[in-house]
Amino acid sequence: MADTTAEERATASISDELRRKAESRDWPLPVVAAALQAGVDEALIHEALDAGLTPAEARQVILKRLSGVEKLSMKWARVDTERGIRARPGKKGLTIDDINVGSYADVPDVWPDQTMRPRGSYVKPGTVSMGYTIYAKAEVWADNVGSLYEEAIQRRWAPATDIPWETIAPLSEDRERAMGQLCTALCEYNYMVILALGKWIREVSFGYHEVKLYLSTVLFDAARHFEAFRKRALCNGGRLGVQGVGWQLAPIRDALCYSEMAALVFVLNDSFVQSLYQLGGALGHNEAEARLFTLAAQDKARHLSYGVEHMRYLLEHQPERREEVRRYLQKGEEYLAKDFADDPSSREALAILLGGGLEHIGEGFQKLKTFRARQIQSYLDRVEAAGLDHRGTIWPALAAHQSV
Amino acid sequence: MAIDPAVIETLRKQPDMPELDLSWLTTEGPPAVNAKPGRHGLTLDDINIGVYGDAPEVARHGTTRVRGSIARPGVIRTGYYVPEKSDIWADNATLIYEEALQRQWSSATDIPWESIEPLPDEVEEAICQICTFLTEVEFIAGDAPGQWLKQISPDHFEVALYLVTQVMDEARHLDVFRKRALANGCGLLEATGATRGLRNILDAKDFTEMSALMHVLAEGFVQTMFRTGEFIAQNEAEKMIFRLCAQDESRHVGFGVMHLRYVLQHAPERREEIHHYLDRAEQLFGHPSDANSGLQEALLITMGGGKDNIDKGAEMALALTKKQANEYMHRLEVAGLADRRYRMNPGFMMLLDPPKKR
Repeated sequence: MADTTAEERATASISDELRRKAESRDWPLPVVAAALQAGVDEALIHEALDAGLTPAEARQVILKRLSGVEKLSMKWARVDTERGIRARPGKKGLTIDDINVGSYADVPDVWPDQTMRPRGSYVKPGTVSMGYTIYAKAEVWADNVGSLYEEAIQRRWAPATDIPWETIAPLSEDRERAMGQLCTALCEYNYMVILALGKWIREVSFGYHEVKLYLSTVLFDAARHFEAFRKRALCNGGRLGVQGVGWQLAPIRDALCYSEMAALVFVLNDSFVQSLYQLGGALGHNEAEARLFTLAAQDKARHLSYGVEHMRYLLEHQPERREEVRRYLQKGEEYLAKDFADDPSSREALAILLGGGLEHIGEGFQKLKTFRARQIQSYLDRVEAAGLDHRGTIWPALAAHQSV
Repeated sequence: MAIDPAVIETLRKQPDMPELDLSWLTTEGPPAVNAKPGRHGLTLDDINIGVYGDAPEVARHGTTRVRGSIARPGVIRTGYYVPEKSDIWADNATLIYEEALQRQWSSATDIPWESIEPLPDEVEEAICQICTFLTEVEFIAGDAPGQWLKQISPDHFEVALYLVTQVMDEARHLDVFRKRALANGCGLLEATGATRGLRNILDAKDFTEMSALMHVLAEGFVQTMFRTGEFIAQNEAEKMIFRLCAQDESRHVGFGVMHLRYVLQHAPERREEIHHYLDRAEQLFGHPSDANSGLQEALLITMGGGKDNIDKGAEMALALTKKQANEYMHRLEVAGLADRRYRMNPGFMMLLDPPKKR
């Protein structure tokens, strides 16, 4: 009934004469109405009806008139872009680096185009802006971004089927709860990465498509890590734990430029998360956990590799930003230290896991001190590898964890 | 075995023991669960047990608290999320998320690049023009969901996880069509600048608006084109590219259709609003125009088998366009928007087959 009314509305513009003629020839009125609205002359429709065309034949005639390309212009084939490119697959297949040849490999320091024009193609003047905000190569670039993208795809895994979940065996309640608490924290962190990267990926202009592609893999990894640690928390007679205090996430949320976010996620916080992944791999109570943490650490190594290379590229090409980057790191360190101080659940869970159970939590705290010191050492090593000597300027509250 | 409070008390009294809280260890929260893998492994649906599976109708917190964990008072907010489940949800999100993970592929190694042989110049140029268009437009379906991720509450995380797989798929699509354009002696050609309709997707202020325009309309059209890629492809590599991309796009379209259905079922008052979004989108997305004439011509050449065969190409391109419009209408019917048939943009309505008799 509702459809009939809608049909009546849609066909209201047909003149009575044309309506009568169309109905007598069993032509669908919506087709007649659509033809009129699309600009087909009413006389032409009368002509088609009088000629005895079936509705299907008439539709063909009208459609050809409306949508066919009658003559090829070939203007698009005469644009001034580089020709003769014949990229060949290497031993890793046809990679994104393999196709970066000739002018297609020229990644300009400033990308001048606000459209979705692929690098190396031509776009007509007057095309509208797509609202990107990042047009400076140094803001996003890392020289390893193409190879990391391809590696991420080659090393894909699925938590549903690549983790031997059947190897998980019941743990004591304290250790299962501690594992659930750790998984909860890792889920929260990875969710924050999804929120943050989703926002930034859209800001990167098309001149740096390799970065957009690589960030897509990081988003994908973060989703997989969120999923995998949620699954671990809920598959062994346990549960998720208490929500974290969340200070660590605030500077990531607040970052106002891409390089700020990148320093916080890919250098500072990922460095600390990577230590947790490696610890989880070493502590693995069973094959499933060992594999889960090892695969997650493999992914995280790529994120850190990008983070360090990006920071190095930024500092080499915009050395005047050195102190700015240091301040971003310090802000992140301040909040991370606040997390350590204000969140007993995370540190106590780690102490239980490190000690081997609640009864050995004291021993676990001793090990946690050593673990924290190593976390900071690894982080500072990465910052140094990126070209920033930060050992003397690390935020004091975090530096306090350096001493064992 | 429950935690023995006496053990905790004993620990607290030990010398050199840091101050212990341990309240998290004894806090009663949602019950413990023991999810077990099924025949597809341990899937998201397998762990959606009891409260852990209850995606609330309204997400009431602005933190990163994951669904089923125990709330901590005083936690800072991480953003403003779309609160209403009906504004973002699709019942198939978990299923297509898991499918996406299982069906990832690599443009570097899963395409038989060696099957590409030199083609007549005009055909190679036409293929490259199509690839330029797809390299240009595919990642709109990465940028657009990307900008919405920050508004998806962790209470509705399944949608965020699915959208992330879509971003990944689109990255691979951008990548594979760029690779094809640069693999056989031509290169990238003219970007269409078909950005009016695509800007409309980025401009959407509402998730359902974005999804209807992108998943149902734009990706639906692309999906139909990929599925008829056999007629465009000139070799096994291109056939494989279209086949794999079509498989990915099916998930994207599937999410859009199921989301639209969920909205229409749970917020039927939004029907007219959705029609308005589609009215504008169809008008902008529109018919062959100057903006995408390069693509149209390239399709005629590839489908016809050369410049001298454009009548055949035109016939096939017309069949493709009709198929696109009819499949679009079918998806709308599945979503519960069958009345769209009578108010569709004339350019599309012209292409529709008569409705099946009821």
